Amino acid sequence: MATRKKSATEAAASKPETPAPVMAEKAPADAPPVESVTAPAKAGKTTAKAEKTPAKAEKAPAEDAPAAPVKAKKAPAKSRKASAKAAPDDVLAADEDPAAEEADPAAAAEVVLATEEEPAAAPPTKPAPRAPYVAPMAPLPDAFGTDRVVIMARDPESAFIYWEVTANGVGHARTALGDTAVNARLTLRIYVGEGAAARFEDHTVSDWLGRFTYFAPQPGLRLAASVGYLAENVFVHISQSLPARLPRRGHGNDPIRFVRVGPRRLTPPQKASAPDIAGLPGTPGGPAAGPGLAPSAGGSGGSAGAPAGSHHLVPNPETRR
Amino acid sequence: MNAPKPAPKGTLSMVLHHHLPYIRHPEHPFFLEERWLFEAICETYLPLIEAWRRLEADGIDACFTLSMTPPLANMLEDGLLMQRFRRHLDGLRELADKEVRRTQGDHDFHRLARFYEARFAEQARLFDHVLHGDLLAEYRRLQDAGRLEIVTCTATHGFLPLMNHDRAAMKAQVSVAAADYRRIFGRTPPGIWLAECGYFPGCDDMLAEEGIRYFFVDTHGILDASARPVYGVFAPIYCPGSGVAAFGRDPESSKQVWSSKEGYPGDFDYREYYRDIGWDLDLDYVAPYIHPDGIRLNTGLKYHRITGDTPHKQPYNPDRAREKAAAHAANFVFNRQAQARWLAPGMDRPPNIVSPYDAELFGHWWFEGPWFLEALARHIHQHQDEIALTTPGRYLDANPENQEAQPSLSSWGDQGFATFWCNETNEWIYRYLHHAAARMADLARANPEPDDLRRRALTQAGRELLLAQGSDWAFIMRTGTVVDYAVRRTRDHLHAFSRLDDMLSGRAALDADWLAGREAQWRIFPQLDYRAWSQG
Repeated sequence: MATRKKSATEAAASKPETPAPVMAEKAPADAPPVESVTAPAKAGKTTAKAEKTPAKAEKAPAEDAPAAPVKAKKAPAKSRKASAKAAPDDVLAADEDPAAEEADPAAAAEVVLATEEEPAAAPPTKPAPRAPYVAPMAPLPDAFGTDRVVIMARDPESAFIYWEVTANGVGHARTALGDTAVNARLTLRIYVGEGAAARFEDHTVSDWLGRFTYFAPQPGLRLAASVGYLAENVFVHISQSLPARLPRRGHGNDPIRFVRVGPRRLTPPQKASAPDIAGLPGTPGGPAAGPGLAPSAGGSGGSAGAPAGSHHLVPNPETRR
Repeated sequence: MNAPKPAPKGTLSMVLHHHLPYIRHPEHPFFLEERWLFEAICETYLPLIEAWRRLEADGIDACFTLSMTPPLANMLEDGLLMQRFRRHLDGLRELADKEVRRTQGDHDFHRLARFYEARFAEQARLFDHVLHGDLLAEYRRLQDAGRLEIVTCTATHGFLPLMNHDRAAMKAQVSVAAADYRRIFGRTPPGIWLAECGYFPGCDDMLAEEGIRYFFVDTHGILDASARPVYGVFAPIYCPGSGVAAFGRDPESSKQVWSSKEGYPGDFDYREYYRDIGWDLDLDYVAPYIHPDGIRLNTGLKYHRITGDTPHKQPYNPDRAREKAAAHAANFVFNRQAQARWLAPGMDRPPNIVSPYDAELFGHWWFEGPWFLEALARHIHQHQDEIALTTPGRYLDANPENQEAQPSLSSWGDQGFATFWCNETNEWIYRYLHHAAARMADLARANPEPDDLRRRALTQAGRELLLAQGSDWAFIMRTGTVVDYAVRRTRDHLHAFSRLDDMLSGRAALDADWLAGREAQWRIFPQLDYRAWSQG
């Protein structure tokens, strides 16, 4: 976030008017005994561990960190990476918190203010481990004993597929293949397109229980998947999915028509066309909106507009278009 | 005598999506994730209610659109959670009081401590003595008074595009939400916020069956519709067959608020989110107000403004920030006026600018957000006549004739489709969710007239399934924040569902005590009808 070059206005706004009265640097003049002390190593360590604990809802910077959205964003990314690597069964079986093992260097730099009660001489005691909200649970079952394949459109260019085949389903398929079954391969067949352009792609798979991401050659395609055995150009289905359609990019070519809708019912079209404003702002091919002031200040040092962190009150720019 | 205002050139629909996942842990005296609700009440919901009440008292003609998700509504009416919120607010008041004493002698910080002291005292007065702890009653009243148009959401924020092979599962997400809305607000929901703006062609049929008139999609949901949208996103389109209207997000007004680089919330005079005394002060001093295990948390008392790209943050000045929020509101209105002026000549109706936001942006992340919204409403009412605030329902009443076209599959998540909720971090959940949904439909159809205990088991099975389906868990797994909690919640509800399935299918004995325990903890949707799954 803090990479944009500042305008003259912003630069003026950001120019320190007075030495910044950061709390850790300047204590109230007539407050009860207040000293700035560096956090004992143990305290820093404790804080760092806490920051990485998934149960922590929000992340704050070290004392001298800038607005810190960058740091705050990066920490979750680590967790995401770790999570992404985990196989589903690993995830399901994991009752420990691997992230809690890591320390956050930003937190270790924290400076702690003494209070009126205690000058914070003694390091805080190490917190007890937090109890899980439920007792560790057995992993979810690997399979449900049902032949099934499901395809789900993710975006204009990809679909997610998962499947399960059972011994019974495999047996039926191999029986149907007869003598050729000896060379048969478990195959995920993906049907692409429709009508005269319809075709299919075969992907050999090894597991009776699996998942696959299909990358389509173009948006808007109708897709379906089937799992079965393939031998000598003969494919025997074990299970077939319902079709899914990838979203298009760009509008379709349906005729333009207007309808009047009363409360909960359609009435016939009232007119066939309407003034065409294609090309206006926000319409396909249109320019940016008309004249207007830019916001009066930018956010190069800001964080409130870049809510990153781990809280799920999350208008997070990463997750909103 | 004042002349009547001329008809506005355009209209503006400000849509605030209120949502938190259902988190309720009576088994723990303190549960960290429950604080999400408490912080949102303090920082967003109460400040917004205060703003709407002030606008109402001053006779400002302003109506906002608000989506209230069923999990949030159910938490707001939960006695335990509201009792815990009250304890949270007491803690804030105590901390502010200590801060007033601690900061004596430092003009800037002492002034801020007094600001927080007064703010929390006023929130306590509002919550206890004006609202009597019942926020939902106030939302109801504001809607009945024409100050808000409240829409529902899928039952547990379930993301429909990833359920679209299972009509029963989707229909239950919609019909359970609509029934709960009728229970709480005493009327049919006028519209719906599809979770994450997740739409796929065909799901509008289920909305029409519940009497829902409209929903929202991201910009490309309209621009990539089945026919060229002649008015772009500045007028709704009707879905063919269902006649449900889709309103598209205006990208320009969204960017002015959302953008981390160009948006208002990054102004240097606004409060710095990432500096909080929960992190700045001595651990022993803040210990009573953070996690009991000593984990540092944001307390809500923040003394610095963003200042700039510098580690040296300057003291926050609420008065200056409030003035800046008013200036930004005026700027926002100015830009909407410019849009309306530009668009109106090419349209046979006033262009409608739809600006949807997560409500929690206002107040929680952007502290001055509620001031901004209040100033925006006042500015529109008092200083111009080119645009007017409206709601989608009012817009449809005034403009019942619209283009018919099918919006495209879309969401407002990163990249605009379903990938954020289905990728290598979270795709493993769908096998389990889909299986459970299919089993739930089988169970509902196989048990048309159960005895009382079986009915309770069927109902709880529905709750467990719905709670597992919330898009929040996949979202959290993707963002990598509190992944452990999201995984546990998903597994917990799926395990519970599986156990209920076993009991209802005769593979295990019905355990009334265990069932009563689940009912006591996961009590969302008190009037849930399991037959919602038999109608797909």
